[in-house]
Amino acid sequence: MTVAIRTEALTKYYGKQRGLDGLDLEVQPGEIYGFLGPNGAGKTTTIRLLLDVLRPNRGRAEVLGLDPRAEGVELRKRVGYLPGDFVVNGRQTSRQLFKHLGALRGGVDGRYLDRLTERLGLDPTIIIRSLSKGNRQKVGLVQAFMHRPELLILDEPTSGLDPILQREFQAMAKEATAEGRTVFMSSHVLSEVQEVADRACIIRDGRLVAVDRVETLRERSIRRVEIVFDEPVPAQTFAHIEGVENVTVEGSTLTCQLRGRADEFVKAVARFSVASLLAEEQDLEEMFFAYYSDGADRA
Amino acid sequence: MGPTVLEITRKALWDQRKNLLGWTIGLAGATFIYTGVYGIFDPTEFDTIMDSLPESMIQAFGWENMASPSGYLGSTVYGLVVPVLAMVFAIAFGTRLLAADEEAGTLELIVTYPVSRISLVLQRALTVAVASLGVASAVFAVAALLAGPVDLEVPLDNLLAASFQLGLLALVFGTLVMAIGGFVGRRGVVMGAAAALAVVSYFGATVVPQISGLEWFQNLSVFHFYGGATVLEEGFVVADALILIGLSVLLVALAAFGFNRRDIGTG
Repeated sequence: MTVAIRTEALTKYYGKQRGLDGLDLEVQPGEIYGFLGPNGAGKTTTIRLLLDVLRPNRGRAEVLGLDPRAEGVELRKRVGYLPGDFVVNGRQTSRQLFKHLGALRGGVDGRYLDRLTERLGLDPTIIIRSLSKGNRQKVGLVQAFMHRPELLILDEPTSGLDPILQREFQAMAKEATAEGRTVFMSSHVLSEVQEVADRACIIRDGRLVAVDRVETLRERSIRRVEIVFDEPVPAQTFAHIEGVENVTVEGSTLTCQLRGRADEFVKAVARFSVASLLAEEQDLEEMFFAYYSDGADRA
Repeated sequence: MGPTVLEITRKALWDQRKNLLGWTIGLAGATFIYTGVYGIFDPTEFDTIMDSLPESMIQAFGWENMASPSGYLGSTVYGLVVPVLAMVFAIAFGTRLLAADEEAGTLELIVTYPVSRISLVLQRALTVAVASLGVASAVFAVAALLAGPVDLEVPLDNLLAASFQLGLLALVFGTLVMAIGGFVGRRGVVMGAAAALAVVSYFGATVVPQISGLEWFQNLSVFHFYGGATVLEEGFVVADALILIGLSVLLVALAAFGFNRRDIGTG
């Protein structure tokens, strides 16, 4: 079976500024693949290269076994794409837009289209200009899914969606892969990808930093933890637990960073009376430091 | 299953329908006013006014035969106001269809649909052609309908020919902005460059040839090959029409060439 996406040393410069620097990527058919990186890392550049919006300076890309440039029309027939910045002429209803976009695809199944809009709670009779950001994102999602493409390339698909709709989107992505289709989605937040993706990679400054199963990435991610106890606690109780770093205690409030498994830490916390607990995922930028500092440790 | 034939042309015309209606009313309105005014003036008064003006100015503005019906139409409707409006319309319209669409970010989605870049440019160019000839048809209709009531006796076939040339003039500028837009996806750059060329073209056909030794310059001017006033007097010039059509075809080819070989949306 042909791989869904393959890039080899894919490189793109904007003038002298580097957008993407020698990216090697392989996405298997039928998987949900998370494409992670902080803003400006080169995610959108990569995606635009895959769809022939941009042309690479070096290296090559292959999508569904096809060359984005030479076989672009055939390739784009089989792909559904959601741009990171989804903008369309706002002076039309989404129904009019779907009619146009459907015609560009030689017609799409109207009943499936209706099901999609219903499912996302999008009223297709409203002028797009007057839709909220979240609702515009739904328009973008519908047009990407509407022809049941073999490959979905989605740039920040869940941005602007509320948690319930994020769930709905995740269900749609899983259903697509259950039918053997492939989902390639970018995000700058691990938590948006971790519940749905099988594998993920992280890029930074146009270079690949890590490719792994999502669970592995998650285990290595760092959480910032803040716990308020009913009474003051001694800092040294937590300082030596594996994966716990930067422990500070002010009165009855503990803050620290937690990496990897939480078990030992939770059991230590449980010995005290806990008033409140907050655990935030660190953003990817900080996650890279985890990777880099790991590398430095090993070296 | 291929895309619906000419879907991009259909959609562009539909999206621009209000804009097109506005320009059609504008050009038809200008034609209506200038044609209608003819009935009010006493032709002999024209001669008095003309005698008081410098010869070179009269030539520059094509006012030599102001008193004759075709001379009047040629120096007003088909000489200045309407062709200038048509050029402005074409520049604005052609820019919307490519460079402005790209700069707004709305073109990105379309190029990721199963339509080749070349087909996209050709279909948008066809939109420009339909719009240009459509607007020119409205000018023709108003001039033709009003000519009788105001005793403006101009052969209908000459009027048709001049209107067709007007449509071609618009087409050249509409495809010119697409050609520039094929290489540069920036609205301001495209409109500025095209407007400069339009001004050069207009003065190149009117004022510059008055300077002795620079008569040849008019052969570089699109406006010269449009030749509205001459066509009204003397009839259709096939060669001039073919030059304008050929130029438009060349510009569309250039637009497709440029657009097909570059990144989209990076300015």
